Amino acid sequence: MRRLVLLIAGFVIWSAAFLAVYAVQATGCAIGMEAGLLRGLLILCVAVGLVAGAIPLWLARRGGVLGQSAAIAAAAAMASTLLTLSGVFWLGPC
Amino acid sequence: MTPIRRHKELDRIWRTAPGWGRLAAVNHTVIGKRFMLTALVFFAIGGLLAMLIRIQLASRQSEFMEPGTYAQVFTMHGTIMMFLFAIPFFEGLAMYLLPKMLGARDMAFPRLSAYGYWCYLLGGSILIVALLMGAAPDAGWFMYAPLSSATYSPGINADVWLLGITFVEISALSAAVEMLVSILMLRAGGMSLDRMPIFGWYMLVVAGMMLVGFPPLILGSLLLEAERAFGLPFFDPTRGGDPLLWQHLFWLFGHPEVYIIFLPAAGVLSTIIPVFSRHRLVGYRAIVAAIVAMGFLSFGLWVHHMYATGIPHLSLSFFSIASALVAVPTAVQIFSWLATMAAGRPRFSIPMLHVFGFMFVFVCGGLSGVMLAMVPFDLQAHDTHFVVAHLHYVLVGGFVFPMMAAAYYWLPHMTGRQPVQQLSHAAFWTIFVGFNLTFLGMHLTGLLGMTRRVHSYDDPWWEVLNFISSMGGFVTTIGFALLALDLVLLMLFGRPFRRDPWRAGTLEWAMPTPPPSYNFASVPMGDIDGPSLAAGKGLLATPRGEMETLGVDPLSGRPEQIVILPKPTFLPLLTALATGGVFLSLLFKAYLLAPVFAVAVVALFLRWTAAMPAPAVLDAGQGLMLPNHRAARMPPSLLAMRFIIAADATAFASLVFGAGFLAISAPGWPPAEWPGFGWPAWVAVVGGLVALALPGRALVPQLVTVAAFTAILWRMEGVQDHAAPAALAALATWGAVHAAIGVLLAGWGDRRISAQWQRYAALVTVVAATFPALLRLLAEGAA
Amino acid sequence: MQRMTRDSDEAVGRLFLDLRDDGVLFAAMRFVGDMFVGFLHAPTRRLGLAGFPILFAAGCDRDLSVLSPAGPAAQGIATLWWWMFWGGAAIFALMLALFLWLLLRPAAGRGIPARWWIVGGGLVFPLPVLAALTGAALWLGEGTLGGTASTQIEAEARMWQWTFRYPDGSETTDVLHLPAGRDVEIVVTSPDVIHSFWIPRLGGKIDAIPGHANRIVLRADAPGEYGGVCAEYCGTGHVDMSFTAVASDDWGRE
Ligand code: HEM
Ligand SMILES: [Cu+2]
Ligand SMILES: [Cu+2]
Repeated sequence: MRRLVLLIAGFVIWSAAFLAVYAVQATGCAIGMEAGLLRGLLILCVAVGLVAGAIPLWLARRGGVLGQSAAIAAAAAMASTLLTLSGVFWLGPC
Repeated sequence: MTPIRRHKELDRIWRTAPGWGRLAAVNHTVIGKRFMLTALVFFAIGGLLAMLIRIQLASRQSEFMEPGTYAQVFTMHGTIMMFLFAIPFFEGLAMYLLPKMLGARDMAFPRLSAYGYWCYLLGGSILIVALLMGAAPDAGWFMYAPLSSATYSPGINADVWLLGITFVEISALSAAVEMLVSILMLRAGGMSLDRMPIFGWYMLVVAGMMLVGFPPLILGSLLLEAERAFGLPFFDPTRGGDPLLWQHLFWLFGHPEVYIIFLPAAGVLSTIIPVFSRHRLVGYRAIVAAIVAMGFLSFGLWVHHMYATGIPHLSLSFFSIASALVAVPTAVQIFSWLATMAAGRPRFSIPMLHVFGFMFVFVCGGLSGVMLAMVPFDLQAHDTHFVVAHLHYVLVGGFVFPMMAAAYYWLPHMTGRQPVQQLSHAAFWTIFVGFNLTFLGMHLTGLLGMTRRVHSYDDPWWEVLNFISSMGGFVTTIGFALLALDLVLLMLFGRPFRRDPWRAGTLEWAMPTPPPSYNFASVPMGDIDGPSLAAGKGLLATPRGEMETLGVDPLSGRPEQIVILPKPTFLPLLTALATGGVFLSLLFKAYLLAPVFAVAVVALFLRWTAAMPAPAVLDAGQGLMLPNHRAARMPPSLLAMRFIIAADATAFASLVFGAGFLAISAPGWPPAEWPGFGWPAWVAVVGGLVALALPGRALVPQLVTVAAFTAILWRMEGVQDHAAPAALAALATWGAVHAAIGVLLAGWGDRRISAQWQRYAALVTVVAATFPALLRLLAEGAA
Repeated sequence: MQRMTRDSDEAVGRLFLDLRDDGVLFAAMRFVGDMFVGFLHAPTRRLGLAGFPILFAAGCDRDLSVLSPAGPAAQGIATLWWWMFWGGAAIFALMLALFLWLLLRPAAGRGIPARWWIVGGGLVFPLPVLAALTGAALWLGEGTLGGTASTQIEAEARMWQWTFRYPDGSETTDVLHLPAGRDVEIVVTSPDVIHSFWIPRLGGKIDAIPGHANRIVLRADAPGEYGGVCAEYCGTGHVDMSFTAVASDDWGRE
């Protein structure tokens, strides 16, 4: 069962980072947070998501068909975190 | 024991009785076929409605239908195609195929399959009856509030949608739980997950997506129905609600839904293409990762249906990039198929022709999908016929063509007859040409400014394009009629064959065709072929008078238990009828009747658990002694409970999200008077914490919690005046219902299952009781 | 041939103007886009060929056509569209050719290792294409969305008509008066159900959502009349909910 969890762990972390960034951004804009601070917070969320996303990648590196699928999925999830949320680096926050 | 005798004895145990006994059917082969057949009937009805649409639009200022009728027609066309055709059809296919491919004799919860089927049939019938009476839903298949609210849709039409579709959704959720458990636990001995047929992987991910995809819609429907029926203003901006909340809840379901429809079709392609390429599937590992990636990414796209709602550009960028990114796992799959074809020696046959149809149409739809993912372009194309063209390219290319391939591929399995290819080519080309004629030019119609859902227009150029589309639509319909005729001819006059006409490697072809009621004379274990299975060289070869199948360790496939399945029974039908009673009394506003039916539903469900076998250790054959599921460490029902909890938690999370969303986004927050829970909230928290600490069957604390939430609801005021008290009332109701279910399970349920629910319900209780304080903080911060 | 040259000459001229206004990437996109449109149009005009291109050409002058932009927002999107159209067509042709090649010439692709197919076709090819496209589209969006303008006009959508309110307090119904050549910010609201404000030749849609005020900045480059519609289904009168935008030079001085 643990290997099955590992298979989805990367993308679960992606989901969490995605929702966190979306929620922080919406809330920050709604309460009128200062733009620089908001951007900082958002970048922090992305960074945490990336670091957390590296854990399943590290754990999955040990072989087996399922392990390899898990490693691919975890790497894809990390790339997805960086790509989907890349707007926080350059687009206006609200 | 001779194979013939084994066959006779097994069939006596497994078969569905004729006559009235058919209503008691629980067998997956029977139920799967019923699902598919019913879905096809709905497809025909939806297709008929499409023809009405095309007649209406064929000319300018058409007088064929009035705007109100037209609204019902396009709403029902979309609703039927999505909810009553596509999803049930692949559920049926999966139900029919999965046990056979995985080496099991049935799904894990046969009665649940039957219950799901009856819910689907009854719920779908409610919609069709409404259509015939001219009272069908008419606010578009996504039912945007406030157009669908009581003020602007006062009739019964919107209720029919909300209640009918929720009723049907029960079948989707039950199918999801059942597929997850069956794929994970009911397989051939020794079939480890990484050697599972790829279709199993696809359906595993699809079932997981359904489990978290449907609850937001069910919750949204309940909230909207509560607003319509009882005036709780969740979506009414004049009373602290927000129409955008509906859009979020709907599309949080609606986008994954599209992938839920596409992935089973991709699973079919991943199964068929290797067979016709005469090479095993290339890139199994990459495909598994791609399916998982797709399953998740598809949940991060929902706002691409809401680009024009005024959401900040940065938020849109997340969804826009995710929408573009989801093309990558799609490309990985398509190129794996191409690699398979490159590595093998492809041979041409009718299923392959439909694979070509898929390639052509779906790639085109995928490309227009990437275009629509781009925010600026979508702002122009959104709500025009460009989108109508796109969605049909994706749905027909990504679902209908693969399913037609599946029909030609597996119909021989269902009927035991080989295709007589007379009409097949003609049918394919007619559909293919007709479809492209209908929808290719429609992209341009949209770019020339024709919005969707209009019943009339003035522009002569649009008329040219629409006329072409209408002609194409009729050609497509003729093609579908030819296809139907072809398949009927195949069933009647096809040449019988013995085994495996396609020389496929999957287990479903290792059984006689048409398949016997018990699938496998003995359950496969390790590498074994059809004749040895018939000769009883697998497991569970000696009939014992019970319906037995093998339960394995989810990961390794090691045999772990003997699952004893329930016999045919009328209980699913009766329970579905009682459930239908609940929905009908809500629909006709007989609110006193609804609880009566609800009690009947609960009582019937409790009856389901009555006849369970006693724990025992049994001989599985081949020298293997295994516990039956009652004695097993992890019986299927316990795993199922976890999945049910996951689905329920998604709905609860959606509710919490909804309340938070209203607090920061809706106009008119915070309310003039803040509606707290007061002291009963503390009682509920304590009740929850005690239940959390006590092992299993904590009857008293759960009763106390129920009482506390009832007190909260009793004291709650102004639920019709503002969305804040309405949201709190929803939270309290949620808490009360969950604790009440805990009480029921503690009294009558299995101990381990009840303990699991108790822990979860306790968490729900604590969150529901404390969330209002957080909500207040949020609302005041945003104000 | 002469037409072709003229079209491209025009486009080159535009390139330099645009370079000044919008920066290189934008201008380049528009330049190539215009070349493509010219390419599509030129043979049609020259030979009078029947068929699809004619529709495109004719379509480009229609009142509600996304393909005949009359303002910068719509122009940018039209350019994006032509880029995507040709890119998409090329990718489509490539995929189909690959599939048919492998199907009809068995063993044709035997020499190419499986890994190349999957990594090449699944990652190396789509990722840069998607990244470039999405980046460009976001850049375009960042320039057009969420802007403001000094002139504000209120557009109130209700079942089933449009009421426009101007800075001087006057009101019109189903006719929107705009200054030509100047940015205007339209503030879109609704008292009943959701509608959507759309003038295809000027730019994208913005929904009118009860309880929210949404904004969109539009500009009509030249005086003229532009069709507008409600794009979100809003009940049985949805079709009738159209309006006309009238852009004039002497706006506000009438
Ligand atoms: C011959 C086949 C079909 C034809 C000719 C057809 C035609 C149409 C047309 C013209 C519309 C636009 C109605 C309008 O905007 O006024 C439409 C809407 C739609 N169609 Fe189809 N269709 C076909 C098959 C399908 C299939 C197979 C599916 C799904 C599996 C489907 C799903 C939808 C959906 C979801 C809508 C949107 C409904 C709405 O706007 O509320 N259609 N169809
Ligand atoms: Cu979507
Ligand atoms: Cu409208």
